[in-house]
Amino acid sequence: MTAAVARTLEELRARLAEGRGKACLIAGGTDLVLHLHEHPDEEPDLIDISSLEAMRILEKHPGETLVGAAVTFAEIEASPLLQEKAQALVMAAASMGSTQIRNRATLGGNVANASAAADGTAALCALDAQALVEDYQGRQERLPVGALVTAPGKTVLGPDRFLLAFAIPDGTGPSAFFKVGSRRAVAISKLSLALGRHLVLGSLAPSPVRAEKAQALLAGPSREAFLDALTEAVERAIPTRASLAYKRVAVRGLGDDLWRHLKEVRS
Amino acid sequence: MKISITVNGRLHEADVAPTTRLVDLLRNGLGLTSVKEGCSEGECGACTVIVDGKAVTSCTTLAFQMDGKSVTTLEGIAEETLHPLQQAFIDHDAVQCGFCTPGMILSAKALLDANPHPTRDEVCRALEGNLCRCTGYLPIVEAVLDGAERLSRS
Amino acid sequence: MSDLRYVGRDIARNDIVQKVSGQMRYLADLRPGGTCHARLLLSPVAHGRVKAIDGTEAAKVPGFIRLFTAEDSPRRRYNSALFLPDQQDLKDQPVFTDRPLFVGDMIGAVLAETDEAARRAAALVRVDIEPFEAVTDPVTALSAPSFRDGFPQIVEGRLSCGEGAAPREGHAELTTTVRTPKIHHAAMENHICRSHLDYDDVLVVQSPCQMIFTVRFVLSELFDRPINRVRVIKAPMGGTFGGKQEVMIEPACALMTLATGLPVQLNLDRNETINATRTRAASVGTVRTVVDGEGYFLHRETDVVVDAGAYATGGHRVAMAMGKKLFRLYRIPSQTFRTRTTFTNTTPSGACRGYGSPQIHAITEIHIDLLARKLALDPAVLRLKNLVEPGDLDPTGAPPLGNARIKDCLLKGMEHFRWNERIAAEPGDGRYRRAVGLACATHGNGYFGSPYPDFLSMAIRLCEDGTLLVNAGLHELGNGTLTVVAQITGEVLGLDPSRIVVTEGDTQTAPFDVGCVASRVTYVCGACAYEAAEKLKTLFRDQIAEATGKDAEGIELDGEVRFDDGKRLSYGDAVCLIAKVLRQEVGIYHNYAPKANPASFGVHFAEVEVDCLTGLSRVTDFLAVHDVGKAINPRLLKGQIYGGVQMGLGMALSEELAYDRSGRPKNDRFSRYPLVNAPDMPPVDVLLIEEHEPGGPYGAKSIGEICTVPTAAAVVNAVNRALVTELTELPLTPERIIAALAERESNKTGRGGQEQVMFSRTTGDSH
Repeated sequence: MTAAVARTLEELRARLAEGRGKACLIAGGTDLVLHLHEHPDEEPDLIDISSLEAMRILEKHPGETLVGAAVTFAEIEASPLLQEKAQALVMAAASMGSTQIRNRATLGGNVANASAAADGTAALCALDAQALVEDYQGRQERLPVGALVTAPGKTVLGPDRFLLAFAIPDGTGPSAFFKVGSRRAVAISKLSLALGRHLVLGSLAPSPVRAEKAQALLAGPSREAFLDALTEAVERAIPTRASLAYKRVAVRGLGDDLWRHLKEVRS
Repeated sequence: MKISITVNGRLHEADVAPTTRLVDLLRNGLGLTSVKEGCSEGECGACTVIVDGKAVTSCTTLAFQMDGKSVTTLEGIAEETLHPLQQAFIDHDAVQCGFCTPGMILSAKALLDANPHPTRDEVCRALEGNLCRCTGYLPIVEAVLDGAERLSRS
Repeated sequence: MSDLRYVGRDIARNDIVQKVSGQMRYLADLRPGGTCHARLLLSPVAHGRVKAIDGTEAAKVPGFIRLFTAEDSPRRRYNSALFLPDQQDLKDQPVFTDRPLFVGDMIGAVLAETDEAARRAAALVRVDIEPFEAVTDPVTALSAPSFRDGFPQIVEGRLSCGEGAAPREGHAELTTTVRTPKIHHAAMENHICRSHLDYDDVLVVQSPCQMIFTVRFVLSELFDRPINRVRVIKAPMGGTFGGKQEVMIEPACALMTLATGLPVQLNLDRNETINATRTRAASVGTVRTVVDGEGYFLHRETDVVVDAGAYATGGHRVAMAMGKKLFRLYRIPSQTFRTRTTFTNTTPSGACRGYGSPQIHAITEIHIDLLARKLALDPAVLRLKNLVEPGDLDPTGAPPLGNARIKDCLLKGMEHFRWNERIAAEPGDGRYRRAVGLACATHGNGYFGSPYPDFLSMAIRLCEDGTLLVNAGLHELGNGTLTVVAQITGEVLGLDPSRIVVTEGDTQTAPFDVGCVASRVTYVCGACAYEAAEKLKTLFRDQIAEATGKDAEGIELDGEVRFDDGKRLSYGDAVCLIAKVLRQEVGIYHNYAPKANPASFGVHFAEVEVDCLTGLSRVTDFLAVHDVGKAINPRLLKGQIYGGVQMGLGMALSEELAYDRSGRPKNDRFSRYPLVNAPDMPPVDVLLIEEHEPGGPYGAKSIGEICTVPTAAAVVNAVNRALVTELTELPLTPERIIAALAERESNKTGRGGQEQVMFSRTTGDSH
């Protein structure tokens, strides 16, 4: 059991190379620390990446905006750049956890934790974002965020690779995020709806589910047709789940929120 | 692991285990028992402290991650006399059993430091991560609004 | 009464400076060292048999001291709610068990030098359990075979009045079934206990509890120790709401101390507190009411199944307490109540703010609103026809209702809330529907008239500096008990409450008191304090007269001693004078037993807005009206009401401890157990009816429990009005609301599955 702080990519790569397969990355810790507390028999080799410079970026590049994996939800919420380029992510960040959690929880942690209810993941998928993934030897690749999660709690990353940042392409059009939980604030999403380049539904499946037909109808004149298509998308995604009865209706509430929001934005 | 951490304005050198949480260091290591533990998962906010100006749940933060950072607990906000927020909590009876109170006051202080004139909704949002089962929050929200006014006057 | 100096004033609570400055030391805040630390081993299965426990790996953890299992447990079993030997409730709970009956049942514990070592060692203990089938639903449990080794599966109780006094058939009637959930108390401080053996072989237990003498009694019986060698000290407490009322972790802590001779601290985490302690009892109640043509109640039958969880504890007491409330709110000529307490493989239920009252009122008050709908009557009007009046008797022979001001509450509340105007408003037909609802409730003031004796003593003394010490077996729960007692004694003696210290319970030094429970503190303990202070005042005056040779008639005691010749003496100087001249202390010991148990009342009014698409309900406005006799401290009293409303809102809308089919809890952490948080709390207006209750100190009666009793029903009634539904299963989660709307639509249109068309049409832009 060890603990180390990686402030640069070089340090992180060295640490990962050293502790091949055993290292456990920690950023905000809002999920990992409670796991460790509940499992005092585990003896992890922890590497703190919450202040790793390359993961803390939030900048505009040609054609895309880069958000470091260790950027917190509070920083996302307050970023004028993201308010302009990735409203869905800003809205998701603002609705995530409590003030205290948003001050620590990071976008990368939210994605890597691979919860079906991860609001950050849903927003990123809607925005067609790519994850910049690196391994301990410095090999970098880009993967669609939607392809990262393989099952609840599982990603393609493995022990040798890490999330460096997310690239959100320009020109995704108007974007927004809505969710419903068991109370108005500080609630795990029962269901979320995110619009960017894609219209996606979160908390339905391990990874966000696209609603293409509904998206096509979003530009049309009929809200009813749009909402019906959302209901269909839910029915297709979870045809036999007990939660279908609720979610097929609730999705219309989120769709209605989105419809009104777009109308306001346009006017 | 050895860290240096500034707590309530004083620099401390501490040797912490990898999985020692900030709440453990503050309570057991430094004896700052105003920091309470109520849920161990960042949901109740009783363990809230201010880290570099931001409210944070110390039960979801590891101590070694706080190397070089500055932490404020309730013990650090009053000097000779009570902080105006504390006085407002007294005057509005914003306290019953008192267990959530330190976290509440620190969440409120972090808000007012960043936003000296919050609206009621902004206060409720700043306190959304602090659970209280006794007061129904209403006197607490009043106390924070009143505390804001007292601070702007002083 | 207008010249009161301390009673009726917003005096700050005694410990508030310590609490706002972080100086309040709860039990977990004692500096580390000087004690060993224990962690419980809790059953991961809802029903099973422990085949083996292997502590080999645990024993390797540095600091490990000892593993405890069922083998270390005394043979004797206990009931966590008993406080006198004659009480006959089932004693069915072992300290540590090898036949776990719910997830969270204590199968053992690990003792170590530090908390960290105890945690690590506990995680390394390997437990081999053979799981059995679990029963989690109370109605299913009625016909299930008993899983409790020879103990009955059902405990039945009945109450009735006026048999044959009114027709049971032939008039308008309605039958309704309401389900109320299992609820976690959610005091912010988790359960904790400390114990050690002192030099005189006295077992000392410090616990943030509500009944030190009950803890003492249970420990003495369990461990076969003389009662005077068990010392229980009430520790500072971070909330309870009944959750720390029964004896739960003290036996395990004490067992480890007695077995090892070591001082032991036993801490629970939130998850353990939720699973291993107590819950509010779930209930399923069916009510049938028969009314005449004008809406007067003729006859009512109530049948309630109460889920005790896995052990008897106070479950059946809660059930009987429910029944008693039925006879004290409305005038109903003939009424029957039957309850069946049954057992499930879930966390035991027990005391929880209101002790069954919120459940029974949810059952009956939701029913009454649906009855009013059937009769096409305003639900307030239907209630006004039937509510009790001041001086009414309890038809079962229980103590009279006293100055019962429920009608005042309802009438003044209707006016204040603009009920007539608001009930006439349409809920709207858009996505968001809005409506108002109300509910009435009653609760008690102590144990008088019940099988449990209600009495206490206090010793009060004036000190040499003129300060006052009230030595009592009280428990400050955070509700202001100590402050209120200081205000009452201060008023009598003309002493500022800041010069009075009221002690909390310590069984070795405090006079007996049954406990800070049952809404008895202000009405019963407060009355004791009042009489004790009066008695002390008389004694003090006589002593001064004797010591000074002056006439007692000419001595006034008003914060200082005033003689009719104009001379003055401070209380402190008078105490010293009496000490020197008479060689006497200025102190008395007073025993008090109440002679009445009046009813407290409340009416809650709620306005809700329901989102017909997401199913989320929001309470947008709230009024709580309470018949309190006299507010000793209006600000503290309102604080009780705000918190009570908050708990009731959770019961109505979001809080529920649910279990999967194998009996595993689904909500055993705060992230999955949505309490009302600050953004969801509506504004709450409070209206107090202060009409003097005879027998109460300065006319005061209880508030701490009644203030959470009508809340849930008021909210549910508002939702049912807003949606024209008949929702009766609490809490009204978004899922249940959407299901009810779908059902309503399919009934209305006769075309099941078409509901979404309707919802789409109604999502107008008007909102």
